[in-house]
Amino acid sequence: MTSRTGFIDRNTILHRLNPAMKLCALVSIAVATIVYPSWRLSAIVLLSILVCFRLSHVPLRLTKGRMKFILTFAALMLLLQIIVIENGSILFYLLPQIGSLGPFFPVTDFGIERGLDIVVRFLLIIFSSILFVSITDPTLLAYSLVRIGIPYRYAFSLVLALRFLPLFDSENNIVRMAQQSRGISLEVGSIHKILRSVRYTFFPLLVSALSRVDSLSLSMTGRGFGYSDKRTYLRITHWSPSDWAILAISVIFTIFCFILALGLLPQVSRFL
Amino acid sequence: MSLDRSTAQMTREIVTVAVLASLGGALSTFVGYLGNLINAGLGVPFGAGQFMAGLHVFWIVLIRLLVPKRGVGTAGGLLKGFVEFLTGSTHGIVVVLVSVIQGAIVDLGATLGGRPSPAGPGAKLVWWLSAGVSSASNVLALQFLYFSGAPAIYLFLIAVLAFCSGIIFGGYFAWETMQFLYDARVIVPVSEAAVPVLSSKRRIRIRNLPAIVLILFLIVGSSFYLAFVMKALSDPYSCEVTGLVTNPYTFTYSAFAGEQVTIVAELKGAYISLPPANYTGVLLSVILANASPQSGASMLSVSARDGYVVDFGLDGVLADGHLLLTRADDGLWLIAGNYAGSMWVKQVTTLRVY
Amino acid sequence: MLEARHVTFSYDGIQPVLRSIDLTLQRGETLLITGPTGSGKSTLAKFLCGFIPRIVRGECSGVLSIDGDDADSLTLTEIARKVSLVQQDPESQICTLTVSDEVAFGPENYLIKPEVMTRLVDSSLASIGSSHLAGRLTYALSGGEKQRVVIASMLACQPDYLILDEPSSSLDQKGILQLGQILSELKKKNLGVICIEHHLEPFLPSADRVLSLSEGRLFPWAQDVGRRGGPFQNHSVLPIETDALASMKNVSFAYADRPVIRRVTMAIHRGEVIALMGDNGSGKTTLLCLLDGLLNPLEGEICLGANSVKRLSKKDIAKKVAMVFQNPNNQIFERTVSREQLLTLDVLGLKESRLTENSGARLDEAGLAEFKDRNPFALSHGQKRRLNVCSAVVHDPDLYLFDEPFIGQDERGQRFITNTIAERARTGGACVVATHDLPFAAEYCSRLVFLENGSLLFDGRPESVFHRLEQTGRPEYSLGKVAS
Repeated sequence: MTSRTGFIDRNTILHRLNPAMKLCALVSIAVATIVYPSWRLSAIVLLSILVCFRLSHVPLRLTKGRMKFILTFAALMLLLQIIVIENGSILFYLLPQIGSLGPFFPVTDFGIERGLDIVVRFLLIIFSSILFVSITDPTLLAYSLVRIGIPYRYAFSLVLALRFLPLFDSENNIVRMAQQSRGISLEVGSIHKILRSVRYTFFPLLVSALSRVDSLSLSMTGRGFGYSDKRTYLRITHWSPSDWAILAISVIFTIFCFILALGLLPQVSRFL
Repeated sequence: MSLDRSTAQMTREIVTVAVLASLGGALSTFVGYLGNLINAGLGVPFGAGQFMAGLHVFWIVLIRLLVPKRGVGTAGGLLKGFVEFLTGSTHGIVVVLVSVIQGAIVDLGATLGGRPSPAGPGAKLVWWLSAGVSSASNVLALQFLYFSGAPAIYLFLIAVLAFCSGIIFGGYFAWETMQFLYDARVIVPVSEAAVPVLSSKRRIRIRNLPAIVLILFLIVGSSFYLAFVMKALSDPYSCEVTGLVTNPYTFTYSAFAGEQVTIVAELKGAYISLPPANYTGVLLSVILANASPQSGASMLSVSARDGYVVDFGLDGVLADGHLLLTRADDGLWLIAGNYAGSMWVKQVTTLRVY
Repeated sequence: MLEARHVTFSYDGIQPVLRSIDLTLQRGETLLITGPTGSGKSTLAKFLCGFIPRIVRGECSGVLSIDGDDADSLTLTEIARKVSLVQQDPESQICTLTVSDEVAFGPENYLIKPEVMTRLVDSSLASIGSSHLAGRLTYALSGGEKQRVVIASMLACQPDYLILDEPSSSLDQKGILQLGQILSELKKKNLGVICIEHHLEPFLPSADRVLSLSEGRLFPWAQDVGRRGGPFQNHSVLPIETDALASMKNVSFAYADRPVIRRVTMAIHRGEVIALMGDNGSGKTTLLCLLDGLLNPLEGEICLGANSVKRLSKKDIAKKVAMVFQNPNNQIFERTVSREQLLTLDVLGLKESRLTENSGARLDEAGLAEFKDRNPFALSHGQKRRLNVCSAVVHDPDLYLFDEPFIGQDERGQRFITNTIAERARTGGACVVATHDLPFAAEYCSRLVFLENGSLLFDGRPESVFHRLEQTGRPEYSLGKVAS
């Protein structure tokens, strides 16, 4: 079954981990790699993320649309860094000397290193995000957030928002078709035209969306939403020992990266 | 009965926030599509799409207007960010951060500006400006991910673009939308006149307001730009001398015009070398002496604009007659005649003694 | 017993919507309430579950008592646990991503233990014959399935009384028959049921009483007669030409990997009014979109006149074809009714005086002239539908494609839309109308095209197609129902 979110429902160890823990781990990884952007360290983490893709039976689809875009973008970023950075030992020139012209665009070891730092960090953040989304049931994510102290009515707004996505997608399609069938095309030639295009798309959808608010909130109130501060759940999320272990590893990893970034472990940061 | 009503009211607010965040998430592809149309129209690969950045803030502003409570903007931003994250945004988890920051800025503006009313145009100005700032903030947040190392001027320009977009879509268009929803009777003004109603007479003037605000901003922005950014860029032949020195200062090449020497040096790289050439510049020992290093200092670190850093022993530097800063096309270069090529630094920005 | 006495209600304090209503409902009793659009049916439903006056604002007097308790002494939750309301649009009542979560939503809020809850979810789904839906995602359900899930999610709260507001409005013929069965099941479970309905026939067998609500008052119901009035020549005046106005040859279409239209071939001629029928999900809307060039067929060719749709620009197609979609809110773009009406003329550069003049006349005919300067989104559902029709056909295109135009229309609206269709056919155009409305198909259409799973099953004169449908075991499309 396809759904609008990236969640791929499988029954693997990674799928069964606590969603809130997975979110913490994801945030830890992102913070760590932003604090200490070393491509060597990030690449190690990235590799283990790729292993997790395998473990969770989530296909990577490197050649499909979005992935292709991400990889192309990463390649462009690397190229940009290499061109912009001139310091370090020159390895070769992108445009070698021809007669008296050039050489241009020196490629330096420092440039490549900096480029890799940025690109691997980017890939790590994106790939771990994709992994998280693929292996986390969004409903359980919301419910597990309740378990760590967020009031259930707030957390439930995530479920609500995701529930309406496919509906709004399809209404968006219909609105666009209705525009076409009336001869309206989207134009972006001037601010005036952009505003018109936006208005013609946003207004019908907004009215349609907001007109559902009354009926939905009545229906939810009629089923006891807000009846108590607590609530039971049909599907329960647990914290297992492996959840605690992974959480501990992620936190320690983040602290480690802070220590490296502060230069407190020069003998280690020389290698990482 | 009043408890019933407040519970139901809260449910209604939660549903409103959720529905709008969801619609905003669903339409983010459409917004991206418009951005691409603009990019294609202007013939640039990316950047101009930031002109659509304000449409993301639009949703947060609308949420904050329809549910006028402190913190709702941040919550709406968080929720919209999560929706986009879970549906596979190409920014990954970072989109949540971007969206929360935008929401917090909108909240801040809403709290400072107070509830918009026809009587007080001041509130509106604060709302609109905060929408602009909120929109521009995405450029800074995303720089972690994409723009590291990009020239400040480029970042600044797209931030300006995003700011204008925030004013137009998060300000002007959000106001127009509220008026529209009110006319469409989709929303009913709550007792305390939560809806910023524009009377028809004022509409004409208000139509012009975004243009006025934009022009004002461009004037303020460009003077800011001239005052601060250009100053840093106008003299690329300067660098900071800091650290364990009694007299830290900004070294400018022109101020040392009389103290230049010329040396012959050969860049011996690990892979590629340059033939010996003449280099004219100011010796590092002269530059440092001017700052009088303190007695405890032992090292000098030289950093470049692109983040490159090399370290020298201070004693060696002070005695070296072949270590100087020269003036190249793109800034000050460190010529280290007695050292390997990797110790030569282009675009030097800081000399730090420690 | 659920009892309402002397109920009077007004939203604005001026115009009363309910006037001194008295009503009782026993457990195990099924009550049908009918009445024209805007007669206050939904308002009455909201009163009976306590939403009026607790949540919905307005001026209210009268007494509601539940099993002898005065509702004023009960909290909303206490009322809600006894009286549940299923509102009109199931899409706006589902709040979770999976069916079992949705059914568990109420019990979860009422702090039911998980073990008990699992049983409750199963039995609620089973009682409406939908156990197979448990593992499904809510957004992928059909309209009828959504409706049943909403009913199940209410049953899971274990109410004693259930109120259904226009439950058939999003259902096809099959779904309506199933709903009729569900009602008799609920009766067996000793629930008191109020079913507020436009189309009474399918629910009469399980009803104990039928009441009619009119101008805010309840009356015993009397069989009404006549629908759209207005005579209409069933068969086209113009001889059917051999040249098709539009045609499809071996057209197939799929969303992702799901085939929706399979090798459909048909031609539409001037003078024809074609009813496009079939169950929900049989591909009616997709077929209309294909004819309007809004979707590209996977295989086959679609032509308007002699030209392939593929080779025509969107604007050229828009000049020849008018399409009206289902949800009125999705096809209104302008800020006043009159601008909305002129929008297509504007976009297509057709602002000649004749068309502009006619456009005003048409608004008048639709009963919308007085709202010219209003925001079109502020109109009622029925008025919006009529505006959709007016604004789509403002430039007199040859071919009208209408998707369920009659839903939510009162008699006057039905007459206007039927006349618009008839007029187009009479003056040399053609119409294709996707509809569940059997009487319309039987009385006003010259041809009926029946789709099943995206294939064209039957195509011919309505009476003969109805006959074939009955013969092939589809009693829900029986013409006998129309006659009754």
